[in-house]
Amino acid sequence: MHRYEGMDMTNRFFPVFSLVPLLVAALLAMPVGASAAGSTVVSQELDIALGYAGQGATRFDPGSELHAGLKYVASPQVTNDLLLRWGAEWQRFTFPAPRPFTVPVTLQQVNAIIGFDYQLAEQWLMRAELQPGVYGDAGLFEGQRFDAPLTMGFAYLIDADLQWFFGLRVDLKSQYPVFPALGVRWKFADLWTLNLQLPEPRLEYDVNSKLQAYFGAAILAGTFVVGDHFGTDRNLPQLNHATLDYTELRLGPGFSWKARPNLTLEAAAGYQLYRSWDFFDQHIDATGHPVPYLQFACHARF
Amino acid sequence: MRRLFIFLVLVLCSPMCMAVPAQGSDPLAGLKKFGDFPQIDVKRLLAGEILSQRGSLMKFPNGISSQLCFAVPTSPAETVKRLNAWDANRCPSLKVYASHGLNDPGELKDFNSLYLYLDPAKRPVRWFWDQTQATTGRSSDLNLTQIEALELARCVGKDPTAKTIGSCWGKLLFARAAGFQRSGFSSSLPYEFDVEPINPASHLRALLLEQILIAHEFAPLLQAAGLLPGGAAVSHIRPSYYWRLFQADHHATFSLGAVYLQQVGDHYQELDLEYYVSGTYYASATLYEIWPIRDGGRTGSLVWCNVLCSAPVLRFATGIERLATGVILTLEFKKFVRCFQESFKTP
Repeated sequence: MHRYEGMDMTNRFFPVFSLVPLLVAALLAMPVGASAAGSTVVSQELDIALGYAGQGATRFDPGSELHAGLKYVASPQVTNDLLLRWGAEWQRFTFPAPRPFTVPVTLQQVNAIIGFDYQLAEQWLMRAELQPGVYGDAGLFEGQRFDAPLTMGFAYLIDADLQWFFGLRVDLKSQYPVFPALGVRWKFADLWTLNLQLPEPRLEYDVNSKLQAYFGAAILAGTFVVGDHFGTDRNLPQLNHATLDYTELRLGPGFSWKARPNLTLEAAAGYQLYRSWDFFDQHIDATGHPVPYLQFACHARF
Repeated sequence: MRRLFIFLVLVLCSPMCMAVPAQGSDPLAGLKKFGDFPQIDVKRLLAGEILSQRGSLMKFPNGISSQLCFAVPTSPAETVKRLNAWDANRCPSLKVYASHGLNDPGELKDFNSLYLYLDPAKRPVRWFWDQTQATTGRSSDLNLTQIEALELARCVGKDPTAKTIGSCWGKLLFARAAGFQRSGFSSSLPYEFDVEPINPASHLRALLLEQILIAHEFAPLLQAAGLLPGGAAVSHIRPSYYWRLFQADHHATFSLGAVYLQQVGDHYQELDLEYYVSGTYYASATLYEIWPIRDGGRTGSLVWCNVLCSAPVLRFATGIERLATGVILTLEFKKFVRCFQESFKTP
């Protein structure tokens, strides 16, 4: 038999808090619902992430960053080839002072997840996921911050050791409304896997059946709309209700430990090589110098 | 719901299990009754096409299945003979290190050559060595009982050679094989180092509960194997036994199996059962039905097969991962079929 983590097309960096009670309630309710339905196969995913990036080199760099996320998805089977995906997600970046003048204190999103997994052909699988929600700063529910990015991924399976991935992210509010991606998962040796899937391309080494070490990158990105007075407060009124593309690139090693058959814990550390807060409409772009980071994640499956 | 399935299997299978289809039955019509291939073009199959279909996602969380259909240019009797005599070692892509038949009743000497294949220079075999050496009476990543684990740890010692490991595993496999030959699944030992003890027979039965039509079609063989009640009625079906060493998910893996065969009119049914697997997965069953076919002047055999497998990794595989797993099982099984077809091109 084979290992299948290579097929994980989920974004593992969707951090979190205000939705916790709702999600926990949904989580507890689901098995009952599935049991009552009797004939419905429902699988569930819960991903939690928590990270910290250390102080920058200069006074005007972002001093630090706190990143948290929570994602819950239930996946009921509809037909032999079709599985629905529905759930919710919360992600928050906090940038305490000192920070660049134009960087908001907080960026966060609360969104629903509506999508499906489908087998297109014998060797082709696809996933489509719409993430309608609010994407903004601290005052999340003020103004018009609704967005609905769409992510589509296609997997072409050659065999147990080699799979190709083709992805597309469509976000009409972003500077790059359509962003394509290509990836591959190749287990090229008994203990080594080249897992080049965005947003977390990695080179993985199986220490044993429960522990995996890896070295890789992670891209955290999103498009957010800041508050109606964000610019006025900074004597830059053109930034009121402006759209911001946030991009972060991380590089470093990590460990993934299968603590239970359905529970994986991850710890990673390294450097944030690049950060950008880009008000692309207004041509105002702040960037950060490399800072070290530490990230923890937990992936549970039910 | 589970009780209803059991009831249905019993009701459907018991009264009809001894029914023998008429001589000269139509393979395509027969196949449509239980297979997943609504359209079959014999001409294309005889040209080498392999039909494949991932099985439905199962409610049994560890289960997965896949169906294939292909043709070979020999009669069903010859095809069965070749299938059972086929040496998978000759096809490197299948990564089978060794496959040996067992006497009935089995003897310890059937496992004497086992050490020859335990070359630790091969990484998957090295993994097997490491897991064997790491086994204690209280923990193991292998499919063992606690008593087996303790005995294995004592037998292997601290600085084993291939001969030591081969001899220790030979004793363990012989005990399992002898138990199965003596009393089938009723003597089957559980795997006690999982989250909860795993009984391979229970897993195989759970897999079959998901495929009632197929279980009905193969009822006599499944009864003979002890997977359905009523084995006494089919005591004439005597299995042949084997052990194998192969690579599963980059891990060297032993399996013990039994092959049940019966002729039903003009065609054959076969069940290849892995009742013990040393690790990576729990158990598997492969069902074959082999009919004579003719297209113009060409004759041959139509082979339908269905592989059922139970594995720990599937227990918590979600959504698309389960779809992908099914696709990959199908693709891997297709490699086996291609190699088998290729074997007809060489003398």
